[in-house]
Amino acid sequence: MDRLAGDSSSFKLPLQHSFMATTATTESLEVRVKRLEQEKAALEQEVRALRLEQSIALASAPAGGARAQKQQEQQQQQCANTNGGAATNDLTASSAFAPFEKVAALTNPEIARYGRQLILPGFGIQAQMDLRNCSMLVVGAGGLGASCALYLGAAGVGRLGIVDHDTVDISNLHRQVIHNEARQGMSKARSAALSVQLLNPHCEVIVHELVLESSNAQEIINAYDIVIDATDNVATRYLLNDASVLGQKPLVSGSALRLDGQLTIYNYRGGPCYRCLFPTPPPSETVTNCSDGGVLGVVPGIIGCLQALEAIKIATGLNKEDPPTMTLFSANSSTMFRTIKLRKRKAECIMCGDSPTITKLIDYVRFCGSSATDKTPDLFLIPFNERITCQSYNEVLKGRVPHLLLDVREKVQFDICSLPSSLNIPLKALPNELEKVKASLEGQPDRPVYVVCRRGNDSQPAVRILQENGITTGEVKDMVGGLERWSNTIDPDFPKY
Amino acid sequence: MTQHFKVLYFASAKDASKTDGDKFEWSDNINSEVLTKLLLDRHPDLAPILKVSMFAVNMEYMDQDLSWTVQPGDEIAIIPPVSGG
Repeated sequence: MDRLAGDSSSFKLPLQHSFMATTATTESLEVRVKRLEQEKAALEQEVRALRLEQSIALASAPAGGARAQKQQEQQQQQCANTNGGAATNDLTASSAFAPFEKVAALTNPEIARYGRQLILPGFGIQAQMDLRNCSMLVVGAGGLGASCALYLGAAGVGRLGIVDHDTVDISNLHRQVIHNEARQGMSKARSAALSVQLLNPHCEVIVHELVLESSNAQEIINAYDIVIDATDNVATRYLLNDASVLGQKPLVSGSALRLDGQLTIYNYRGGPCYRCLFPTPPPSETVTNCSDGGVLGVVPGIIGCLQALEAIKIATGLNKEDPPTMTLFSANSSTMFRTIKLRKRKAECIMCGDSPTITKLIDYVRFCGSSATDKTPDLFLIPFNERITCQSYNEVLKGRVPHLLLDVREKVQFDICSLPSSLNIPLKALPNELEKVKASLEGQPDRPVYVVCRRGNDSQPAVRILQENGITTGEVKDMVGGLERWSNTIDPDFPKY
Repeated sequence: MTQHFKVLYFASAKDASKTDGDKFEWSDNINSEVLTKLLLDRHPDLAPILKVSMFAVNMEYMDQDLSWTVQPGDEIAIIPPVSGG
């Protein structure tokens, strides 16, 4: 803790604490109360700032609460052993595999904190101890991981690992409530760890700032008792499944998109693995991410809470007799929750079956034909000479060159913002609405047509459709980078979403 | 009297079919192959999704390889994987 004290010494208290008898005689009681209130508020602010500072240091140690000092000492010892005494601020791998220390009893502060769970019939001290002596890995600190990690940390899980490679963006905050506005640009794994630490310093949080992949997944997963799949992409889901089967860990899997969610525990008590139910990965063009498909913030929040609940039930043995199920959540259906009864694992499953053909982790990006993140890649479907840059289109506008601007985004996106006098026909509807495009050329068959969309991907097949149907004898081009780049390079006042 | 069975669509299957459920007229010998054809006749956009979806009958997982046929009044759920988070 010496380092923390050193760090915090840079803070200067803004007020002198000289509220002794001398001032009391010269001040009226009213003034004195007011002054003390102000001092109190200033001190409280200082305490909050120091606590945050302390948590950052703790998160990067990484260790929590009463174990912080001991762990830090151990770590320093390890550093001394491996680095010839050089200090290291590496908060990832090495410490995750320091043995997880189990305890025989709760401390008084822990008893005070978990009192409402301790008096809960069917939970009590035994379940609380089970939680305290359990380690869990939350993969993904996004919409699912946000609520899941907060509730697991709050409930008293002994060690919580958090994996994420991404950084906090303002468009995450409507659902990823574990982060906040001040942490934009900060690593999500670190921000999530910090929030858990602020909520419950007794939970030891380990930060894994990395992309989980075949080369590192097994080692990380093996270091935990329960794995929670809170990821946002197909490739990582198959990777987690396979690594959990190989490492014999229960996998609490959640997913959410738009208004729907799913929850299943895989590889647990003879139940199926992910591949038993979904042996074939979906073709990448049918997979929608939150950024393109949209998601109501509370939906992943609900699924993340359910994942936390299931993980707690596994850790404490509350679900001993439960047969395997999949829970389906549909936010706008009159039946919000449905539970599908699952079978036992499939004997012929290539992963968890009787004669598995996958015996080590494979290349999941290749297997799924999609990347291990949920970022939308830039597509290059048509040559550059059939495209127009934002700058060139801006010149077209400035020069008042007659043209048609076709916006092929879905109407729900067009309603947020659009460029002046653009015609909105979504890509999906375009083949059936070509007459509308023709009519908009105002009798000028050689009028150029420029196509725009959100990021410059959908606009490319739209160009092809227009060309193949000979819509105009003039040029047909799409805007490189779409409206997002328009906002970045031409008009900073144009909204991005 | 005509008998029916019901199909429920979830997640991307709901988006592709633009509905959360359908009623179909029941007949004898609708196995999973015939069912797939019936579904695609009504909703061609389901094609890529059906290939990767899990089926459940009356809230229970259904193995498409088994010699199963639809019974009158069955409720069949089409459950594609959801990957967002």
